[in-house]
Amino acid sequence: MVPTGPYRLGNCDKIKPMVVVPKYVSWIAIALFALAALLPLIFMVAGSLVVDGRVSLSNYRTLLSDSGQRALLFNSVLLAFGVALGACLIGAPLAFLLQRTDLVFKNYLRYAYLLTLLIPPYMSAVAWIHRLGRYQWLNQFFVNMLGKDEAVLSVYNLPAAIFVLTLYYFPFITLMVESGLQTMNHRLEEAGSLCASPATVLRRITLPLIYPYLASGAIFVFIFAITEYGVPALLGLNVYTVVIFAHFSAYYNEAAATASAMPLVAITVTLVVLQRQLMGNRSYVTMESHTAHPSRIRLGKWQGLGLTFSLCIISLSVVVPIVDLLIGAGSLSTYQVALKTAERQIISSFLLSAVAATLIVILALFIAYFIEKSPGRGGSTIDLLTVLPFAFPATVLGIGLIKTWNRPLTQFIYGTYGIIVIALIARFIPFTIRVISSTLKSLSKNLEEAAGLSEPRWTRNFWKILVPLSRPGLIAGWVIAFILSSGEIGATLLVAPPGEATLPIRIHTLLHYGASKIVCALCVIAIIMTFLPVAILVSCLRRLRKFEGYV
Amino acid sequence: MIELKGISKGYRTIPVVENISFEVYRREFLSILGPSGSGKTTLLRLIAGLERPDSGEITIDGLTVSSPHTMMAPLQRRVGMIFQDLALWPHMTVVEHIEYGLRSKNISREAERRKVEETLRSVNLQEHGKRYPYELSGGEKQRLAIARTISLEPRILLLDEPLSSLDPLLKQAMQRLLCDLRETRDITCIYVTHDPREVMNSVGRMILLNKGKIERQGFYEDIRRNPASRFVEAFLMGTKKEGVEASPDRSET
Repeated sequence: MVPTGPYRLGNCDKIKPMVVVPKYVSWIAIALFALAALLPLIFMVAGSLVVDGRVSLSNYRTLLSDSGQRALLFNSVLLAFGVALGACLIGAPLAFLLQRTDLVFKNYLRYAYLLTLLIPPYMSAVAWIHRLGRYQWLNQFFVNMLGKDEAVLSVYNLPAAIFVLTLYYFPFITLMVESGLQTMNHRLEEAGSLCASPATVLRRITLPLIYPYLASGAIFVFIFAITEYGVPALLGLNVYTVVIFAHFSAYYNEAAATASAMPLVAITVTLVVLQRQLMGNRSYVTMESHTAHPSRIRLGKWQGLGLTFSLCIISLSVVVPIVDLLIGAGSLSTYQVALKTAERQIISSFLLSAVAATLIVILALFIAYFIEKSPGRGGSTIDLLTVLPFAFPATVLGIGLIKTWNRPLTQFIYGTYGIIVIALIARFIPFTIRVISSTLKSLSKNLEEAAGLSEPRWTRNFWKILVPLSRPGLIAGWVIAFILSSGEIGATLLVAPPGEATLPIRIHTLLHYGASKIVCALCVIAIIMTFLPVAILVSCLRRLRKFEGYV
Repeated sequence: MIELKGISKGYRTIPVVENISFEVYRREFLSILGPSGSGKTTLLRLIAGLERPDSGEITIDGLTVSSPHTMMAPLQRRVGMIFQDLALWPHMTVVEHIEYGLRSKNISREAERRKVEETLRSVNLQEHGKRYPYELSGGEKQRLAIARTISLEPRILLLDEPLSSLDPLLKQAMQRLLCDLRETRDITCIYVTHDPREVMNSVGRMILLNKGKIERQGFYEDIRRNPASRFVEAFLMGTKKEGVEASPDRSET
């Protein structure tokens, strides 16, 4: 190859000469993300400021003068705080047991607790409703014998919602704390152990080092819980998300719905910013540990206690709901009826989740690449913008999507499954971006530069070098997006075209007639539908371990 | 000939290399020596075209390849680089590493196969074609990194401390291999290291960097006999004398 002479790049000295993905490709992905996720939020906020065609703050004035707002805020914050606290109390010790002790069966326990994520919280709520329904005689006994005014065992209250959501969200804390324990420099603890007791090392060295992961995980769970719609709606709680939905669907008052979401959004946006400060440049998920393995703490006589604790959590979060749903469904004939009842919804849910997860991974890869390769304000601004949709409740996002896409020109999207895919992308792309960013962060830039020195076409470097090297993150990102999409209800409930419901919406509708056998059977089918592709991909992820330590 | 004229480069407000000027002649083996954070790797990356200089100019055979406003793509410079961590792609076999760059050369599959065989023979890796990097020893990995680079027939070979993690015997063997390659092919080598022992037996010139500036340049024996500064004397002797301090240990960029 003969040098053809220098070419001018103009005034672009901030551009790194060697990047696999050109900036314009990343900008296209960012524009699509903005169209799917940011534009609806802008429309929604702008809509709340317009009353009868004029700019007005009257929605907000009404909001401030409403005495019910305080109770609403109190309930929502109490629910989220209770869930975050409960998840920390369960998730952090479990992470420590799995990472730092010689707990028996811990490799199996690690997979078992992750199964929790396959059972969406609304299904868990269905299972608990069904279970306590079986104890009606006990409630009757208390009412009759003890003269109680209301049922003693009930799921239709705040503590029950905290309980159900805690059992679903604790794995997020466990994953974050495990990530912190894996990536921390174990020599720091070893140095401490030479001059202090194990308890002091834990208190003075280990805990401060994993604190950002724990606090960050707690903030994540808080936001998840405060923006959760499915469980509070099923259990009849008076929280923001339910009220927003009621404003919109019962009173057709979009502006009031949006305005009432604003206190919630203010809290979540503040927390998202705080969470980013806490995490800094740390990775959210660790694919493999690059540091030396730390010495394991011998549990000795505490082995039984550790195992009982872990098994209790896994039983309550995985085994009990699944067994309850299986018992609730009863015979195989129920499954046949359920399949006939919701055949279309089962297929569409699976395909929509798979398509959305694939599109999410593609967009997330380009956006995460841009964030990782753009030091300075550009990268950090895009990073912050990509987290914003996470701070908005699903119902608010749903309203925003309706305001954005429900127009004559865009009916070819709004009136079809396309709007559901957009809703799923808008809701779950922030998580996938974070996971893929963690993988890209761990790649040596020399691997890409070596490719650039061998091959001039970016497309080939992208497919042959960047994509294979990022495979663990891409698979993990797809799995997360698929699981979350399969269980989504808050936004899809609002935007789904008439007659084109997904499986969670079908279950939600059927639940109005009680936790019937068919509902339980559909929940079991939904869990299997989510589990199968996830199991295949997780086994692929394990096979990729042969490259461990070289990526 | 490679010529650097008044090259400066910094990150944010920290200067990494300042006003560096030197020439490298065709088929020369130039060593760039200096403590950690002295700007060696940055200099190499500037020559490769992986970084843009803040000021100054780099020319190759009279053609301006880098300046604050001009940037020739690394591939067009016909520059090969061997990275400190070797940057081997973990998902590709030895043969795939060599094939990857050749595929862009528009040569027939048969010519490509012959080229791969010839390259692997030249570094004695012909028996390991189907292995992945994690199945190779340290020395074999080094040879694979060299093979990947020389298969593209670069005019200039940049080596960024590629031997730093090898034991002394392997290091000697790899140095012999590099000398053979330079003699049999028309390659100019620029070799970066922080270890004076690696350049002791080099027949070529060396440049000693400190805090982003050239402290001394010439042949090793001449510099050793006449170090001209306490830093050079201390660095070459591998000891620190009172009042002599290498640049602060900031990460190589």
